[in-house]
Amino acid sequence: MNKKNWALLCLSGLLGAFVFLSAVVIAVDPFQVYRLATAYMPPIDNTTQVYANAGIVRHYDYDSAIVGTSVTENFSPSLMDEALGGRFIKLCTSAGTAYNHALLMDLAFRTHDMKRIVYGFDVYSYVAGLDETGSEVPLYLYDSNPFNDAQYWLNRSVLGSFLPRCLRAWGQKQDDTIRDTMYNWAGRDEYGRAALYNALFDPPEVIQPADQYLAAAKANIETHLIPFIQAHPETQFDLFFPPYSAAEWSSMLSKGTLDALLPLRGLAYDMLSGYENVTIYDFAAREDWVLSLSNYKDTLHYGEWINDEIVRAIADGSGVVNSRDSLDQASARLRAWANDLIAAGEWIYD
Amino acid sequence: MLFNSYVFILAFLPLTLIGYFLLGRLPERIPLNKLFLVLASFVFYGYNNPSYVPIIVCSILINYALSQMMLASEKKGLRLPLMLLGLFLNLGVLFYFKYHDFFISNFNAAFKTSFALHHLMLPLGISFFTFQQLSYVIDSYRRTVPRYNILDYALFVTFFPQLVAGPIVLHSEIVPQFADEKNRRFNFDNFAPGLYAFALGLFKKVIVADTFGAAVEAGFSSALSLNTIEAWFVAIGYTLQLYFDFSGYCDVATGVGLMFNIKIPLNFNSPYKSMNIREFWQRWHITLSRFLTSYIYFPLGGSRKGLTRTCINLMIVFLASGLWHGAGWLFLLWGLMHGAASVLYRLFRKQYDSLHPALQWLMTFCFVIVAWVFFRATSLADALAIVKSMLMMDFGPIRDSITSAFALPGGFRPGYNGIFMMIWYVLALVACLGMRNTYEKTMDFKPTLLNAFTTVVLILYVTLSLSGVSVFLYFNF
Repeated sequence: MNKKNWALLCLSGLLGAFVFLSAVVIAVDPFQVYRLATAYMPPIDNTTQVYANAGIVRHYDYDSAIVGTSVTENFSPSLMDEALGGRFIKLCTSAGTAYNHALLMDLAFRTHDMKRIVYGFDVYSYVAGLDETGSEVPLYLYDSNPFNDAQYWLNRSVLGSFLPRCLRAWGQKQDDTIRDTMYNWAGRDEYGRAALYNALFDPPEVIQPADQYLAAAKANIETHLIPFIQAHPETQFDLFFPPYSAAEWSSMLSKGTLDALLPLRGLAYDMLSGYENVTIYDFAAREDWVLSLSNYKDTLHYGEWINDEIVRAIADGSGVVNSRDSLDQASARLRAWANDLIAAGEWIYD
Repeated sequence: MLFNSYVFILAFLPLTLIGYFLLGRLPERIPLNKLFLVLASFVFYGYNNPSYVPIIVCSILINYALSQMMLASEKKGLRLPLMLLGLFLNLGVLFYFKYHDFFISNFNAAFKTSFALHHLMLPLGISFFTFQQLSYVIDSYRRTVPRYNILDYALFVTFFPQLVAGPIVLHSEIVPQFADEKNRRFNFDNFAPGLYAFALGLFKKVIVADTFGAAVEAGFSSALSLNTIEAWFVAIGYTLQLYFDFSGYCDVATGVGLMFNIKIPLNFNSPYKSMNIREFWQRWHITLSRFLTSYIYFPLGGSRKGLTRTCINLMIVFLASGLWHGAGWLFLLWGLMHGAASVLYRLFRKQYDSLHPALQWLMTFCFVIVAWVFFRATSLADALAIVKSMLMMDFGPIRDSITSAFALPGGFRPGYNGIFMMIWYVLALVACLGMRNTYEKTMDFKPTLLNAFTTVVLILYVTLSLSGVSVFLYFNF
């Protein structure tokens, strides 16, 4: 064999393999990036959420969305349809940052006419850098550049693990219940005093200054939230502060972050409440929820019945924040609970 | 842009090759092919951070202007200040980006001052392109170089295969090749071995080096608690990782260079086969040794000014080498160790050379392994702890975090990870010590079905593996 034939053999072998493997991935499309999966049950789970979301946000049928972190994953879109009208989908990212949420909202607005977005505002999501995500996001699946999808077509995990999963689930069809079941972690955990396993009640050793995260949060709100609100006056944004247990606030106080994180609530209110298409809800200080450990699996995560309650509250307008004063009063209650718990050195409420 | 990226393998490399050779069909007086290659190299360089591009453009223009002025001037008295200015500017920029914070933080610590640190991002490949251009500036002062046109000079500095991590090529070995008329046309006789070297290099870098890298990372992050077995595996693992990483990168550079009909000089010649430390430096990062020898060791007098001066010169060269590798005390210490070993070899060469060859090899290899520990460690305490563990005879099992780096794809049979690890080490050592290196295989390349199959499988396997993140060790040196 001469070098020319050798090189042509190699190049045609490589080209053939690249084209064949890409064609298989594009045809099966495990992450539904090109079309809705109709021949098999797509692999959707919490561990590869940022991949599955790229397809869900593009091709599922919806006109409203619930956006947020793990504390929004137990919402039931079918219940939200009933209570709020429209057709909901979950656009959730466990441990997601404001940027994670913005990536999903951006694609949702690009592909759907959106009536409503219910948005769980976690203070933790707003302390990250502007281009920081909770886990590494395959941005090539989120943009509109078809060429960088090569990372999807020629991807060892897609070929070695996700394609076989699709083939095993061949013939199983996804139905509308997938909207409720996706990412839902209800029923897996114990609720009650066990929730305190990650709680802290020790006095703080160092305290972060109150302005520690203000600049980052302001930049995040300006970059990852306000542009959507301004560009889509036809879309209703229901922002809510989630009801963490009081032990979460005592843990913040213990870690010295409370003074720095609590002001983010006021900041968000000041920056967002002026928009006509924004309604802000505060469930963080709902005593009947946050002082009862039976609602929690850890200091942060509440059971799915609280998600349902939140939907009902939004539907009947309870929990709306009408003034900065009332938000500050709620924040003061959070701080008082944290102080009391640290003073007691243990959980004292139920 | 990384060699080990989809955009490079699937788009940049094929498109650049096609563009370069299509434009090469134009008459020689229209050097659009070279212009195209320079521009493509800037795209390669600035792909992840375009703000680096103006730095290298300025560097090229200033060095070229200084060199041309020196080459035009008959008077040494005129050339000297220009050369000094060139030295000052090149080393000044390098110092500013690479050593400023190291110097200031040590100054602050020593004199209780609080001068501000810059926390600058090190421009990609600055250590490499600075040295490459310094050689031309100094040679222009000596008037031992021809005058190149700006395009040829820019191509010598920016030619993307060697731009960010070497080899540190000399103008005299690159520019004439680009000037050669017959190199303007695509040539399967160069492309075929180039593709083969490209496949082997990518495999060494992406699969072999990064697998050892995961184990080394786990080992060094628990440096204080390793037992003797673990410490040896981690130290040898790093020795293998660094070789496969850097030499793999250079193999890719060699291969891509060949695809463009350009022979890039050999940078790694099976260094771990060395029998003494002098030989090691003739085989490891050869183009750096060559640079330091030509531009530091010889000007200092080399070995012509007596034994004492020779030893001092050796130490200076190795300290410079240590500092070139990174702004940190451990890099200096590593340079010091290699300098001391070189001096000792110089002093006791006769006795050393009379030892059994196996013992010579073992002593050299062990020394290199221990020195790499200091090179890799993030603190002196970590490095000393690992070396202490290597000597402590404290035997125990190897922790999962180290063996799991060698797990089978998909995590099958995790109970056998320790055995998989042994297999990796044995194969990697056999490859380093018993096999011909990529350069040798490339230079006497014979097309066979077997190496065609190997080439396709390796490139395919590497491409499919790029879904993970791969860190290239030598970028910021």
